[in-house]
Amino acid sequence: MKDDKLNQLFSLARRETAPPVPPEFAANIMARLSRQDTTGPASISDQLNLWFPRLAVASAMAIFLCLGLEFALSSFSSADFSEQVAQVSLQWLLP
Amino acid sequence: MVQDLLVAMPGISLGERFRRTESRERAPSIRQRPGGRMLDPDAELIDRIRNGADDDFAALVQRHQSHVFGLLYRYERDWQKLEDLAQETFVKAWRALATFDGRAPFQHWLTRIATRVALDHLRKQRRRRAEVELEALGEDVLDWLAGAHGRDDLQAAQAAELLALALAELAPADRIVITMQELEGHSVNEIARHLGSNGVAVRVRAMRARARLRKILKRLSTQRP
Repeated sequence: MKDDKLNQLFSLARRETAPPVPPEFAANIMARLSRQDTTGPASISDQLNLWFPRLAVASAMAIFLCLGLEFALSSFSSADFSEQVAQVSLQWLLP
Repeated sequence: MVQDLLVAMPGISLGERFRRTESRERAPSIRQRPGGRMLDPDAELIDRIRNGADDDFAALVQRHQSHVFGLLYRYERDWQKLEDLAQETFVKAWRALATFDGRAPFQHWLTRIATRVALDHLRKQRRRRAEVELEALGEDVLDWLAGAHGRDDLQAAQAAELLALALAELAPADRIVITMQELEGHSVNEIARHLGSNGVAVRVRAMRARARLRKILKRLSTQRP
């Protein structure tokens, strides 16, 4: 395409006007700003919800770790883990 | 940084945000420059907003909404998306209002924000080839492209549609530069200021965009079904 035809296209396109702005546009902006502004600090339950997946995974890991420890200790010693704990508590915690 | 501070203050009224930020970083008023001359017709309104008259921002929006819509309409012709982009522009302007120092008119500052919103929007969109939609523009446009019609046989809206179709194939930054230069009448230096670039880079980009646009339109003119 030649340069003068491109210039003609620009010149024609420049005359186009945008469609009218909707009458409620400014009000919509203010509503949006107010919504964003009134977002207060998160409540305790919100924060717990936010942390729930991590807490759940951490709890599951702790449970499996204890079970594994119990299994390992019971397989390497004659007395099982709960008996050992009972002995320790009798000797040291409840003299 | 100022923007981060403003966002990170939930539960504080809009005016209070401005006051807190302004007291740290900005002069108390933009209404008067040295010599007492009023520079910007929006200065008084902006000062009022900064002093807590949050609702006056609506008046500021009403003053400039046509300008912003007109500018963004060059880049997005879908009405719903256009309104979203215009909203985004004003929300960004609101958040950054504390940084407006009044050295340039408010409308220039707002234009810069709208241009950046448009550029981000174009970058998110996938560039598309124009052939598919060319037929939808109608016989007049196809005839004009083929050179069968005279100078003024094309309506402004048809010309803008055709141009938008061809511009959609350009890189986003090229499209912004050529649109600002040819359709909005900005100088090279103004474009460079708006885009945070330099005059030489803008000039090179404009020449490249123009050459590419000519090729696209030539290809379209030969691909009439």
